[in-house]
Amino acid sequence: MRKLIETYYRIMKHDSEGRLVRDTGLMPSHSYVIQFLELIQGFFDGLNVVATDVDGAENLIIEQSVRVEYVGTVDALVGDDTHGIVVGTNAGTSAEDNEDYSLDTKIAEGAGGGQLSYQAVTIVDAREVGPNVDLDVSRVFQNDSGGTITVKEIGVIVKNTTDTKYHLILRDVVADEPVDDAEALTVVYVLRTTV
Amino acid sequence: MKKDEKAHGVQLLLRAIVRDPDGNVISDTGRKPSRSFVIQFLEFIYIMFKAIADYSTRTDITGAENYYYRDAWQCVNHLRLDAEINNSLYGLVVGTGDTAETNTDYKLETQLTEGAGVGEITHGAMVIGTAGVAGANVDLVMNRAFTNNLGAAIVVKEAGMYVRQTYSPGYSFCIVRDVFPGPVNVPDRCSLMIIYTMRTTV
Repeated sequence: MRKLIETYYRIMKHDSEGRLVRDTGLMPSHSYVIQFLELIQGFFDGLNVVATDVDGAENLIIEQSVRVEYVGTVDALVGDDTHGIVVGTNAGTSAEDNEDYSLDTKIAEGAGGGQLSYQAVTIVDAREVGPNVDLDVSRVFQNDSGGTITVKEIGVIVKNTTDTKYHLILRDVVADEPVDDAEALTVVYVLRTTV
Repeated sequence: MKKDEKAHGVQLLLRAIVRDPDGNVISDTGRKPSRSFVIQFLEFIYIMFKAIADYSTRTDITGAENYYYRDAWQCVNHLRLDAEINNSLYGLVVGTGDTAETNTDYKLETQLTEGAGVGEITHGAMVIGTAGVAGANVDLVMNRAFTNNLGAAIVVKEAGMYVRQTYSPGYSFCIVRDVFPGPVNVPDRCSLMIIYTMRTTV
C-alpha cells in the first residue's frame, strides 16, 4: 500500500576520477522524527512551537512573528555542516527513534582526520515525474581527509528562527558506506507523493 | 526485508463519523489510509527548504497563480489550516464530487461551502492537535465538524485540506484531496466529523 509522502534516500559514491563506483538506488527512508510534524503543526495552527534542537535544548522551531524565510530552511552553503543534509558515523550504533533530535555522531566539515567537505545543498522543486510528484534534496560530501571515513547515518537538519537554532527532521541509519580519500559521497532524499 | 514493509515517509489517515442530533453514531468509516496529497503540499516544502528569495506563486483553489509565500511576510501568514467557525475558505473541507484524484488537483471537485442552502453545509471551527508520540508513531490529528442544516440529506463524497496564505487579500491552496471509497450520507440535522491524522513512524 502506498503511503502519503513516500520518502527515499539514495547514496552514490564517485572515485577521484568522477566514476560512479557505488549506487544504492532508491531506499525507503523510515525516519521522520517528531520535529518534522511539530514544524508542520506550527504552520497549520499559527502558533509558536517549541521543539528539541540538535543540542538537546528546547527552542522555537517556528516563531510566528519572524519572516518565513528564516524557518525550516535546508539550503546550506558549501562548508556549512550546521544544516541541510548531514552525515555521521553512528559511533554509538544507535537505532532510529521517533524522538531523535540529532545524529548519533555527526561528521564535521573539514579536511582533517574524520572530516568531510560539505558541498552546497541542491533542492529541485516539486514536479510531476511519471505518476508521482517528486521533490529532491541532495548534497555531495568530499573526502579530503587522507583516510577512509565510514558513513553509517544520514539526516536532514532545518535552520530556524532569527536566533539560529537547528532541528533534526529526518535520521536514517544506513548500511556502512566507506568513503576513501579523494572519493565523493552523494546523498539524495526524494520526497514523493502519488494519488 | 521486514523493515521495508513498514511505512516510509509521512502517512495520512482519514476518518469520517456521522452522528445524529443526539450524538449517536450513525456511521463511521474508521481510520483509513489517505493517498492524496496533491502537488501544492510538496511545493510548499520546497519553498520552505529553499527559503525562496522574494515570493513564490502557485495554483490556488480558483485555478489562478497567486501568492503562496513571500519571504518578508511573517510565518503566521503561511500555510494556515486553523479556520474558524463558519469559514469554508480553508481548513478541512468536504464536497460532493467523486472524480478520481490527480496529482495536480488544486481544489475539491464540488466543495460544499458555508451555509444552510443547496450546495452548502455548516462548518465548525478547526481543531488541530499537538504533534506527539502515540505508541510507536508520532501523530498530528486535525478534525472539523460539519452540520447539515439544509432540510434534506447531503451525500459527501470527497474531503480535503485547504491552507490559507493570510496576508491581505489572502489566497487558499489545496494540499490534500481524497475521494471516499463510498458515499457518506449525512441526514438532515446530523453532523459529520472529518478527522485527518498525519503520522510518522521510524
